[in-house]
Amino acid sequence: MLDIKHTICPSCSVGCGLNIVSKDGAVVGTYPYKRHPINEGKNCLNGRNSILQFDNQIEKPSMVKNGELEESDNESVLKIIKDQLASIDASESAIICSGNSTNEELDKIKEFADGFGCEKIGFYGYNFPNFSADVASYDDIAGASTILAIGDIYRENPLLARRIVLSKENGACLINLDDVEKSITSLNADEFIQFDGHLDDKIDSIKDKLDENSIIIANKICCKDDFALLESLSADTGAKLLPVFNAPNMKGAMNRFDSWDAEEVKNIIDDSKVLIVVKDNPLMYLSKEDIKGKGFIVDISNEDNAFAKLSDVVLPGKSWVEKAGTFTNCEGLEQCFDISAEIENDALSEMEIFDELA
Amino acid sequence: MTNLLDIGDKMSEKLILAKSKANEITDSGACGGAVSSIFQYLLANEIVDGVLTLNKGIDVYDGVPRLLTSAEEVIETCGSLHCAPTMVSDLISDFLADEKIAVAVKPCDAKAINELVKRHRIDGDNIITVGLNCGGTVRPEVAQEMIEKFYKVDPSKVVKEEIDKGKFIIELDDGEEIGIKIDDLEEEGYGRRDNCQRCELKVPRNADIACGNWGSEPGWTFVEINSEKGQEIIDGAIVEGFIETKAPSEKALEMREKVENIMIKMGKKNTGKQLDDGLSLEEWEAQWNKCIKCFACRDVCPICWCHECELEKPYFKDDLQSPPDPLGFHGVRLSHMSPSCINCGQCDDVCPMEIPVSKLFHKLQKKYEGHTGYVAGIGDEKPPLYSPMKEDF
Repeated sequence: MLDIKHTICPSCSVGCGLNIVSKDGAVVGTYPYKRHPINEGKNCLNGRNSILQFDNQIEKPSMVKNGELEESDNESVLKIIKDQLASIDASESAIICSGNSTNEELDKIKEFADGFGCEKIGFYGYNFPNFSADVASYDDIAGASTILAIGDIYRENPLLARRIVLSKENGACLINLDDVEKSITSLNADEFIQFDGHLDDKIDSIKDKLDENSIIIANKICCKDDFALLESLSADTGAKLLPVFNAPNMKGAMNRFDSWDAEEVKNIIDDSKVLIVVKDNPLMYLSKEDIKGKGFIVDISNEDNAFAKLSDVVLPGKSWVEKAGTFTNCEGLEQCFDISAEIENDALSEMEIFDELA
Repeated sequence: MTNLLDIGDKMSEKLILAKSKANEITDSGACGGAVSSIFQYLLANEIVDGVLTLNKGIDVYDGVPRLLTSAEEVIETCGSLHCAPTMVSDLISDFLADEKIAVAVKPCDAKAINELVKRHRIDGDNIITVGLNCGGTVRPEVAQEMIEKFYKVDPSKVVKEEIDKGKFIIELDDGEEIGIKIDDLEEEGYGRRDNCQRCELKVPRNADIACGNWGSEPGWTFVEINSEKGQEIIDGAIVEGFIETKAPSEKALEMREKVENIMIKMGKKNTGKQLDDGLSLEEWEAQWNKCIKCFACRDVCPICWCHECELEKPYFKDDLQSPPDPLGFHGVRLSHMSPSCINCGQCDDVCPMEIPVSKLFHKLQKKYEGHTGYVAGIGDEKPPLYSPMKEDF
């Protein structure tokens, strides 16, 4: 049976709508969701390709032996995790969450952590620190006179870049700041400023170009200190700031947990005897050596990747099309979505997993 | 070769008025409910496995394709949705190719299906096309902004909309109707999508039957029968007691022709205005600079379907930091697709960078049409370059 249902794109934090096409219990395609106010049926390649995850995913609860996954069952895997947790002091546990979980799941994980006494709970923030100040809205971009884009927004967040395109048609000036030699954003910018390493030596030259009608959009930050520079730049000039993240609900995670950088995550792993990682792949920012052999690792993710093979047990959880919940996008808008594809499998949802572990 | 230029606006000789014989459908269906009853007839008699139609999603601005598999479901999908610029042909070719289905089509859907049948992506014997006359579609966000700005009402209060007698008409939840001339809305940059403004095929005579309210009487659907298959469906639906029919009056026919001709004339005028007085070369260059080569235009194009796309061959791979070379990307697509461009506008709709891709494709198709007489989506012939007419081209 062919079915087409609305969902929110999981490929970045812009919060685009996406229609999922499923047939007989399998996701088979995407279809433009033209009613969605953020992207009006336009989706980037990453968004449309987000369903490729279903081509190669872990479907069964598994034990990992000698770097290979061996299929098991929910009960056995949960028992092993419970035994591991029972054998340690709560202070020796840690949970790495991510912006790939819904707000409801993050709340559930927090509830579990609070109940168990786990205080080391956070997520890798790609160098963006916790940031709770007001951010610019997408409508602000349309009315901006100057836009300072940090990173290649055109390639990595095209549906946000679309707002810049429309703003430029209204006369806005685009300044692009990046550490690469050239990019699509730089080629479309009125001014391109290349920096080497850190932002500090470029901030002064930009300051005079920004005012309260300006927007600073950043999807790439080298370190938390650089973000502090942007916050100061925003405060000094009156320009609004819009950090853009690479996970659909990183803003939601940021509203709840500590945003860690790679070094902090590494230290957390070093200090933990049981590590639960939920829908994240630490190998994206740490080396194998940073992770391997440090403690008992629980990977709650259906992504069939090298990190799963470094773990001790894997629970797939549910993919986003199987979930209902909310994501908070980078402008702070909380968007509800329903289950967009009925996929038959016996994997426990993240909500069920943490209920079982509690 | 048959001159296909006239087929799109040549009225069929088999013209009838039809209405549903089911009260629940005449009460809720559009103008007589013949389309709904024909779908019910096809499903109830297992002539098709499913009916692909449009369902209202969260509101009147949200059209979601839906596959119906039982006659009872048909009633849930009654009504028109002009703020849902969907395209269904790729859903059929990609996911329903092995099933026998009937599908509700706008003229551009019918054109796309026709082109895909020619390319053996859809089996013509497996599909029944029930055409719906189309005055054009409005982008959902544009529609809401337009309703707020010109109709001075909250868009969420709109429960129904219609394009009739040159007006975009909305019905509010308290029963009030407000209509504004489409010309006036389009003058202000609102109204129908650019492609719909350029469209010259309003009655889908490239479908098995074409249905609508132009020339109909209250409570009746005007139906043009365009194929033997279309005739069989109508005959069967009458015999099985799903619809009743009668002949339209001469006056109705005149009125219908007049309305259609006005809309075709508007389409031709807009084509000239948008394509001939369009962007300069410099402006096009600025447009291509925005391209991020996300393949959205290629992927959504209902005609573009190769199993192995030339554009994904290693020699077309770009340095990830560079924009695509417009000649390499859009040039290849133009050479492959523009003769068959059906002006559905899906490429414009999905482009994240707001590049008006279809204006170039449609412009080239019109030139090709002028040289060869080939109208994409109409008739059985393939583009002449690949046909016996090659020598004459």
